[in-house]
Amino acid sequence: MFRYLVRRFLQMIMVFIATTLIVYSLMYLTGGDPIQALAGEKPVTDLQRAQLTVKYGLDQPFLVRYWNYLTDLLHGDFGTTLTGRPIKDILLDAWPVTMQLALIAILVTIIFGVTAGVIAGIRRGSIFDNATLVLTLIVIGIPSVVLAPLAQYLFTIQWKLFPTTASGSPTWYELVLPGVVLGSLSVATAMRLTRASVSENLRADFVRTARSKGMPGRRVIGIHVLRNSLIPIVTFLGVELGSLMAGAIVTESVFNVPGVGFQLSRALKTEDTPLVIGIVSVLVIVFLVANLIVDLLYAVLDPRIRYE
Amino acid sequence: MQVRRLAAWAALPLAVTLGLSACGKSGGSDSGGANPNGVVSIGIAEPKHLIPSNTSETSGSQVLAALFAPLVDFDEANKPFEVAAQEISTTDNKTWTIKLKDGWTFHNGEPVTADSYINAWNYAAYGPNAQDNNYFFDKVEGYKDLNPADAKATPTATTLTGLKKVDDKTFTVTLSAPFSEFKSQLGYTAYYPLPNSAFESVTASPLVIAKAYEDAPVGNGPFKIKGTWQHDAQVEVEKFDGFAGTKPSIGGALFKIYQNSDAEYADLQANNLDVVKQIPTAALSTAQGDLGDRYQTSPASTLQVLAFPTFDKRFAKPEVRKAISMAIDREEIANKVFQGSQKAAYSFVSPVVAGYRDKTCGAACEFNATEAKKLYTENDGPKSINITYNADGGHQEWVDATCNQLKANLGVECVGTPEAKFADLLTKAKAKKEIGMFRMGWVMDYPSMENYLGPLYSTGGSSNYYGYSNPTFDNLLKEGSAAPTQEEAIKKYQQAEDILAQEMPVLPLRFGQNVFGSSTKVKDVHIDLFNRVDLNKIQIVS
Repeated sequence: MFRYLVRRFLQMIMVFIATTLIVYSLMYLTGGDPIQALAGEKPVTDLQRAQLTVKYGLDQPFLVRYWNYLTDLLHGDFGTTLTGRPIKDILLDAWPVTMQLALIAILVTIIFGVTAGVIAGIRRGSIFDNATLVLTLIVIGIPSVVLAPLAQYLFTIQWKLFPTTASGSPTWYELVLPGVVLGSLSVATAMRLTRASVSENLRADFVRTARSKGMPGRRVIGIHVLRNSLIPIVTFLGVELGSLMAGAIVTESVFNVPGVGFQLSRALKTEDTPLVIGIVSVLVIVFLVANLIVDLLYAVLDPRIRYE
Repeated sequence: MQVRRLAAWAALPLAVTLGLSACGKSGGSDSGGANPNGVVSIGIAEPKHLIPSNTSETSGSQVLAALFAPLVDFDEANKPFEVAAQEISTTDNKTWTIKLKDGWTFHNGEPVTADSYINAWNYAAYGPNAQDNNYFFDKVEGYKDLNPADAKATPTATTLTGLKKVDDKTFTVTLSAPFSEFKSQLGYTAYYPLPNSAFESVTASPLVIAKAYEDAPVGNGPFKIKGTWQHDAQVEVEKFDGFAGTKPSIGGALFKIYQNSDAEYADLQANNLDVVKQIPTAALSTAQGDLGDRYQTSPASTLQVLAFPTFDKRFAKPEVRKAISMAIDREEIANKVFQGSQKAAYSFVSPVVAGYRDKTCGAACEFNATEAKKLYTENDGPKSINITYNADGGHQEWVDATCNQLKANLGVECVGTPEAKFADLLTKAKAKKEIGMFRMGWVMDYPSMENYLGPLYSTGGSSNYYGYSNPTFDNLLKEGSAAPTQEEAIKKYQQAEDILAQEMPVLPLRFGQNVFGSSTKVKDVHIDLFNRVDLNKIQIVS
């Protein structure tokens, strides 16, 4: 187990360096002119350009800049945005908000998606099964750009059940609606995945054996079916954390939630390269850690899996 | 470098304009008294900076307008009147004496003195500080020493020789050439004063802004900041009791920061936000129905034009340019594509400035398909043309519509050519590459005809991308700048405008306007020419 962990950490470091290098080069090589982007449609005077170029180290060779960026990062320094704000401060403000939102979304996915999936899997062909299948088809078909404004209009403007937008430091109540919207995007997938996995396991040999030994139905489902069905679902939820971040770009904009998606979309809009790279670097770490946790959970769920 | 600011289309997607109908009608109901202690919430985007010399976008200048009082403001006719200044006088348009009112203090109790202005302006003008509004000081004597031509060289001076303190309340500004519109210019954000506490040390040279200042700016205006600037969330200001000028009739303002204008508009619909300064394009078609008389419009300073690269042989003849202009039905595009949120333009200056005359462009801007085709054929106009635009500003629709009109009315081939960014377009125009006609937008820096003419068409003007040059035009502008009275200056500027109408280096298309909405909690909502809510006029319905 320990050796496995060490190996995984070494891999993670290499993946981190490789991904940040790719993002860094993409942003700097194709990102156009960050100084002009800063000025908008205004012309930039030669002097102003020269000052800003030196200030942001744009006159140095690419590899030097990347090396400086990496070493700063090791010291916990994410640099400053093009408007001069420390990126660390922005990340410290934005990440907890997005984590809160992601937590709500994951809970929604688990409570609605997984539960409905289990029920549907057990009662295949029932009215519940068919009804949820149709519902998930509809939800899967609506992208977040449509779902978020629609939910906002219905639940906050028409019926006034929730606040329309979040404040600067959002409360849980303000995040419920965006969280549900975000979570509902993966509810459908989680539900179908669970349903398939459960119904497949119901037909498995070990379930038949357990049943024929006279084990009570509740125990058969709880221990033999569910536990084995969770492996693909956990994998899905781990990967889904990433899609949640992407969905957060839209949802956070619509509900004005000052999280990571909000900052990332603004950074892209204003071509604030240092901020984009700062956010993406942390995103990469989140991805890697989530995947590590998923892999470790496999061993917990299935005793046959052991890491050496 | 001239004073300049190209239309910030990306930031202000569907900007602004129109007729002289002065400000918008008052919003909300007139019943119910006003609550003098209430707080008005106004939607803005995250300001880039909150330092006067570094703030050039509308969100930051909206906040600064609450925290600072300008030397001059503009009346209904957009003529400057003194606010923080007692008197601004000159005999030759070159040396200006500015006398400040007595009894004014900053929010921290520091008196506002001549030094408050001189320090702030020196900081702004010093090249290495790379302030966005640096170029506003280019007419002041000594500017070149602070901004050497070689960008990497250290400037030879740290203060402007043109700024001289006479006594605590008086100072003089000497310009390098006469400029009759300098007083109007003083109304801009760049010219606010700064207290001593804004600097690390006031005796230092060059001056350095204290680190904490930007998060809690101390100004001389009607409101002081409450707490600090909460990035990405809000900036709150409250009435400053020690304010010596006209006191506002509200207790404070909460500037709520939005990243997405649709979210901002949703909050207005839910009555959680009091003012949306620019209704998002997507909501334009329904906003009038949603808001009723809380949907308002007011003139703004934007002007949209189609520019001709005068260096391109195809467009060398003014008759060809006129024919193209006549083939465009401006009204149709303003009403169909922009749903009336912009107005057709028939002049080269905006109706918001003194000296504006309607239809200075004459017959050349009147839609007349038959005449246009005749003129175009007689003068051997090019068989195919293209219009270059920036793809990031929502211009495709009207460019395509314009092209279709040209195709139908002139029988030519016409295509829209997108460039990724406006800067790319300008770089190509500067390099005199073949880009065909191209779009240009202009937002004024100060209300004056000069601002619509000088930077855009004078030889070597800072935003003259068409390569247009006419010595008579240049001379008229110079004479206008040196004219002893504003009336005489306007006469010269109008003569200059008439030259543009004859030669048509650009063809005017549309004037923008502020299209804004308010909640049921406020009334008397006015948005000025700079897309700022007038905090002196707005009231809260109790």
